[in-house]
Amino acid sequence: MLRYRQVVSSCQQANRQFHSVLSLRQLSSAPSSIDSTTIANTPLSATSAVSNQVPLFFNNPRNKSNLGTSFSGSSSSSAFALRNDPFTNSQSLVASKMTEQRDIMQLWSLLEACLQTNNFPRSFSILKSLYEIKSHRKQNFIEDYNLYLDARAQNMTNIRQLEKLLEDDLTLFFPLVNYNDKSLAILIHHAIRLVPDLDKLRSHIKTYFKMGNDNYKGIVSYLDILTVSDYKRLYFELKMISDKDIPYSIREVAITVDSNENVVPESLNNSSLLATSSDATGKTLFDEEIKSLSKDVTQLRDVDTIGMKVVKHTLLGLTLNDVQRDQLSNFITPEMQTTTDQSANIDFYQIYKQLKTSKQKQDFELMLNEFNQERQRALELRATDAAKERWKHDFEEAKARGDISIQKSLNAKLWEWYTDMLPLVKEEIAHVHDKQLLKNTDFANYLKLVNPEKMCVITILELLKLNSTGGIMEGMRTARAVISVGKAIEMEFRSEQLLKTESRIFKEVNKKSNEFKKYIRNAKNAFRSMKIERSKIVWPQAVRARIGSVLISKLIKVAKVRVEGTDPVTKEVIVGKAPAFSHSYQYHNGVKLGIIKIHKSLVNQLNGERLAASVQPQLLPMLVKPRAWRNWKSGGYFYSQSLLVRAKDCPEQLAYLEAASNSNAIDKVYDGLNVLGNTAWTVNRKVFDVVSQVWNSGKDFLDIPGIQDKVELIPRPANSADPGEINLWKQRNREMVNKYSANRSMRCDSNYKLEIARAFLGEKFYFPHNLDFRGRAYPLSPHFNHLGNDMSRGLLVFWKGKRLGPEGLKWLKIHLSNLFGVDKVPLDERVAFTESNLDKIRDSAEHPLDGEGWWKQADEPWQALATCFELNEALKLETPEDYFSHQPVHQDGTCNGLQHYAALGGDIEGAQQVNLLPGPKPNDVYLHVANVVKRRLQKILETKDDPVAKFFVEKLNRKIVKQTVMTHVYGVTMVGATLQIDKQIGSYFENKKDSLFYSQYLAKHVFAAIKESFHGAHLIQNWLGECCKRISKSVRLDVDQNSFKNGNKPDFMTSIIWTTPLGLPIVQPYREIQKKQVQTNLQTVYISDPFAVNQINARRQKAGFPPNFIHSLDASHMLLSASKCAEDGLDFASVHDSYWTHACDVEIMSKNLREQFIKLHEVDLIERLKEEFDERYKNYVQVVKVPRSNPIVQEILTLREELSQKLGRPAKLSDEIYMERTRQRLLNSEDPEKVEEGKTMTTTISVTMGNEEALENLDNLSSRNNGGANIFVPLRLPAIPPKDNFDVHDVKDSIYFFS
Amino acid sequence: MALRIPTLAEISTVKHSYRFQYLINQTICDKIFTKLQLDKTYPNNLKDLKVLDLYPGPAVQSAVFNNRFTPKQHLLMESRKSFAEFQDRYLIPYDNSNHLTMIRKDPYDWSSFTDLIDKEKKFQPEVQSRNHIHNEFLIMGNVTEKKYEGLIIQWLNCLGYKNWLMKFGNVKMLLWLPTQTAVKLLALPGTKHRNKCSLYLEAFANTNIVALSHSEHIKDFDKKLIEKSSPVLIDNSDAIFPINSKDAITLLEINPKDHAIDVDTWDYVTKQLMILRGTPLLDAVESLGHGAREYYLEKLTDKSLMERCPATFTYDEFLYIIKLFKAWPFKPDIYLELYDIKIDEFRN
Repeated sequence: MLRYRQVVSSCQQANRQFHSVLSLRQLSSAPSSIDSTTIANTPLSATSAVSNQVPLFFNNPRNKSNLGTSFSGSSSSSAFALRNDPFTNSQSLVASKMTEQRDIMQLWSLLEACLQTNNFPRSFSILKSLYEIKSHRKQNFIEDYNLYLDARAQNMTNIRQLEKLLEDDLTLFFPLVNYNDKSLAILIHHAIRLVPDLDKLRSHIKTYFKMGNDNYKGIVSYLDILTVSDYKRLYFELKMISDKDIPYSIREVAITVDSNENVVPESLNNSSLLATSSDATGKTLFDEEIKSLSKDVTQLRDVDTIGMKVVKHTLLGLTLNDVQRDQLSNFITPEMQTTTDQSANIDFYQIYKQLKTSKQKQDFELMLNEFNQERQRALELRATDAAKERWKHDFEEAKARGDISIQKSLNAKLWEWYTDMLPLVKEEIAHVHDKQLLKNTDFANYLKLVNPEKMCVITILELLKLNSTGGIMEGMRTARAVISVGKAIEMEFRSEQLLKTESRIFKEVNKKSNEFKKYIRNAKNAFRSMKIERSKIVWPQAVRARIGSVLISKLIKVAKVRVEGTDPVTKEVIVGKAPAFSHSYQYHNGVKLGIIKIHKSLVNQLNGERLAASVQPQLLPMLVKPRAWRNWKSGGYFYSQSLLVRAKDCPEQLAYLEAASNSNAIDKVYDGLNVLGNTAWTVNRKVFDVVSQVWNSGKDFLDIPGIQDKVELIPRPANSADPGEINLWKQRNREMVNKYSANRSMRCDSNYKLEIARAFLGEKFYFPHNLDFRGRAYPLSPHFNHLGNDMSRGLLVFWKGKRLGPEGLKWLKIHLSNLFGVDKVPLDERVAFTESNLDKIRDSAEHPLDGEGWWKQADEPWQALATCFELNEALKLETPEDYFSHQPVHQDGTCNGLQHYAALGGDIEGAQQVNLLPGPKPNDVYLHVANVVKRRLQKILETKDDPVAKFFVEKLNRKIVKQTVMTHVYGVTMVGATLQIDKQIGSYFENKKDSLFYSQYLAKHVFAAIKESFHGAHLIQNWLGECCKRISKSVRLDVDQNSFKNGNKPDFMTSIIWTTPLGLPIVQPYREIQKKQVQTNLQTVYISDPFAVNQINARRQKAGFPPNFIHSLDASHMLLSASKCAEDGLDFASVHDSYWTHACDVEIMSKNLREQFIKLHEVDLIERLKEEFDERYKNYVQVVKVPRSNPIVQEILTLREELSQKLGRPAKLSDEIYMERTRQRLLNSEDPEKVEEGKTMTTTISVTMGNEEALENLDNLSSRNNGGANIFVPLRLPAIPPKDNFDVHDVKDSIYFFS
Repeated sequence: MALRIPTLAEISTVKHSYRFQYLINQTICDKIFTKLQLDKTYPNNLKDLKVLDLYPGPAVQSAVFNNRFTPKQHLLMESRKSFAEFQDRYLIPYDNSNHLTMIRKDPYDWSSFTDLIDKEKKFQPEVQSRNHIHNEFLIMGNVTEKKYEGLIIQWLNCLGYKNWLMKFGNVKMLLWLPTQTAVKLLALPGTKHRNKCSLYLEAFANTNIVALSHSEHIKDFDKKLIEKSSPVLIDNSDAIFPINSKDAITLLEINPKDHAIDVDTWDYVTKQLMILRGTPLLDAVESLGHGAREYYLEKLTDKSLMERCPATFTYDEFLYIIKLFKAWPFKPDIYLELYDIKIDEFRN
């Protein structure tokens, strides 16, 4: 121990420093403490190593009284930007950091895999490699070592052994690294485990506490190391810590002595049942009885779907235990229809609705929440086991019925494949080490992380799910397949890991009373959030691809289907077996594509249910409130990680996001998003019944295509037919096949939605949300949600009901009118529309399918039907106002993009047309534009006889221009607009060419009309475009020579980046794609490299910026409104620019969203954007092409000539950059001589610096001329266009703003 | 002499070549026609011959041919503006003996041929049996723009299907094309460029290399082929329009063969296997359909085929593989495979 103490003292110095950092971190917020140490090294911030690439607006909105002031931070942020010397980090440094980061990530992921598989020698050698990376050694290495230490400790029987290991490793192998508090926490945890004698144990722990620099608080904060029982011992037995030292989230669990301890029998505890590993029989979950459970509605056709069964099974299979059943029976009165026998058919929603008092409702919800916590966990974790059990069950049943049944039952077949595949996979794992020696890869370690049973199930499910993706009708692309399977395995591993640690930490505390369980649940939630936030490791793509390919190749080997064929000679029918999957290649556009084909007979058996097969139970609506967003990578589901922003392959965006998140700059975003996630929903049973009836008929109905078993193709013309005729035949058949497949996938999609709806009948559920890269919110559960089509929306109602009251009744009527498209008249006229149709409403509600079917004429028929049901019920009451309504009522913006543009540009006329100004009735912007166009055309006709103008003067209406006006804001091109109009007027013409000619003619006028009415907006759109153009063509001065192609053509790397009013940084992700080649068992696949930072795609950057900017504003508006509505106690949901709440709350919501719009636009957002751009792109230069004749260009060319002479070769653009950089370095030097030297220098770039007149001149020239010389000028953004006089405060009284 | 041969100066006035290249040297043209010994195929000194001349361009070759053989009907099909104007201006007939007509249609469109032959009936060759090369009908053409390779392949496809102009019999084609394309079309089994199209041409035609520009490219062809054809080499810098063109072009003589092959099956099997031209058949064969490997392993009498790659297979070996495919009870529906790809989804 003596030597050990020496180590201790020698480390004291460094420790002090470490501790001060640590305690600072803890002050900010405990869970992110690990993150903050890793920031500097994440892939993300590697890109942002350059000073400008940090969000400029770091203000925490919470600390500011309003948004207006929160934007004024640019001056302080500029100080922040200047803190970093712009020349210390060049492009090539960024690139090398990315490479380094990639190496670290690979080592991490491999280390994790090796530790899991107890491959300690290999783990140790990986540690050595990590230690060699200097930057990593300094900051993170000890964390890696701790992982190793903890894993080694698990197998040790003596605490001295562990101490010695730490001592030896740190002295002999990693002398430049010190242990940290976590290392000590590990020692404590194992000491508690290994030292039985209390005094001895106390002495050990005392030493460890001392080693922590007298500050043991840091050591005991590691709740992923110390278990609840560790804390209990430290607190109760050893009395070495106070209750305050225990992390808050588990404090109550740790210090509460439960009076009911051991009273509740284990069997009643669902969580322990569920936590058992997959090799447990799980019989209780999958026994016969459960199979017969149903939600008591007509069985849907096509229900034999693989994935859905898993879901339903998981949901329904969780029966109530006795205590819960007792609890439930308290709520059930004799008049209730529902029965709780055998736990079948429990419709929670019905029970809830029938409860009388709010106390009852509250209690009921508490009970349901308790119950659902367990079910949610099962839903996320038990999917593969459930699938496997299901297959087995169906196989055994089919076997009992005979061979033919096995052929018919898909599940039985899947069971056969599974059982055949399993031994092959096991063998592969057993022998992979031998192979590994040959190939020198570490891949073997990964293959052992998830048990082979699960891997087999996952592979089968993934492949079936991928059927018909990537443009392959009966199969999929190999690259996608291998990656998907690899990723699914990785996800499974992560969830398992989480569950495993969770179980370890809370091992002792499961056998407690129900009351106590609440504490545990809170503690577990906190724990999960913390774990998920910390997870940073992703498997390398190559590993995913290899795992995927190994598993898929095994499946291909064993999976067989029965085939029937005719012998061409004997004409006999022959039965045989063929592989269900086969790997082959196809050419497309000259590119050879590897594909995995699924045998036709299997495809037929999947019966167009590819979507249904793709159910990921992890991604369904949640039964409990989602984990709240508090951090950029923690929120949503319980056991899987979702990021706040869906930034696929954009490390840059993530870096910004992380920085913003860590500085608490985006709390408002979290608030809004959490509001969306906390809205409880249920399925509208009445609508569901109608839909399922229609569905089961198999016929066409509204948007649902009918069942079509196969496509009838036109027979092939004779060989000798003209090639033109043969081509036509091919084309027609291709169209038919495409139509067939579109219908089929449409039907699948509906089927899938219905299946989920059915599984969730009577349930209370939530949609966790996250954002796209512009900040727009989307539910994480992809298939069935309120963003879906009319049918999905019609199937959803709020769980909570609210009394209509007179206002609510009125709004419900207006809602119906809106759904019928009667939405451009004053509100009372809309009410009148509904009231004049009361008979039809009743008929629709009472005879939806056998009545007049008035509802089917609505623009949104399913939602109209839902509203008819609701109105009909209300109107049945003596006082309809007393009706408790669950129907969401929508308020939609009038062409919301234009609303934002009009506010930005201050357009009075435009503002009026999109209802930003109060008026007696709503304005119809589409009609307005149509009228402006008409007037223009009439003017033309006054001067000349123009048949096209004449045609449109007669035929033009709002519908023809609507789509173009709507999409104009989002940057529709002339070609796009022409096609949109052609769609509307095509039927007037026999010849497509004529129709297109007319359409193009009109498109020009529509554009001009919009420009006329929204002049300010138009100027802003152009300004945004121009800014983007210049930024895309700019480079940083510190760019490295290596990143110039042939020295004269720079790689343009600069993305457009801005900060939304809520502080969310947006990085446009449009870059060129670069792929890496990976060898796998099946073939070589090309996979995009997540760590690559490539050149930007200038065209997409430019086309995307104006619409993305506007979207970032509408998203901000929505989130602000959401927060405000929640504050006021409203239920709130949104589909981008359509905001939903209960009928009785519409007025409050409308008021809020008007106020939030004003708040948003009170600040001059364009000015702010310009400030941000000016700051961010300060030291950039831009390439322009200008005529050589210009005097200043002449001067530059002369300087270039001189430079060439100096160099003895033609000077390149990269040389010019180098010269300017040298000049600036001299100017910034502390040596006065050097400064003087810098002052005397003139470079090709400095010539134009500060010479505004010359630059202005060059701007004009460059925009007109295509030829000339390429020169660098400082990047300058154009001046902001003038704003018109509209005052956004006028929105306050505009009732038709959203209506 | 019935037709005036346009001069170099005149040809230089053509504004656009549309990236096509043309032989404009009269002497070399004559040399080529001498070498071709067309009188062996066409009796009566070609006096009964009908010629369809596709994309003739500046039409030097057409004029030389016409003057030399004075065929019964010589039809220039040309729709491109620069060349059409040029022909109108400079291809001046001295008398009426040339039987030359200029049709302003685009050979790219199948309808140009159906309109000309079936609707307008302006060109009516006789249908002849397939046991010989048609002795009253010749197709000349120039498709030297690289991007038109697809058109060449489509025309050649008609050899197999016996449609388009091949419905009149086995009609000889004299076709100028990029040397690069010619190399691919003539690649022999086991060579680098061997592909589905060379296999196709081998199956449905006998082909000779008649002439080529940029003689250094002669090495791109297989020696045996060159020895057999001993082509005319064109290295005069001003023999080809546009002058100083960098890319090499080749003139092929394509003589269709009679055959009894089921072309759809041939097409399917060769397409599927030649995607994996460098993969041993054992692995490549599965792309013919699920379970093909087991089937072929059982049926192939020459098991060594399984170890060889499709690129090395001869025409006869393919015939054998196709014969087995046709006898396979579980073979997939080859027509359905035609529609397997939805183009729009592919762009993502």
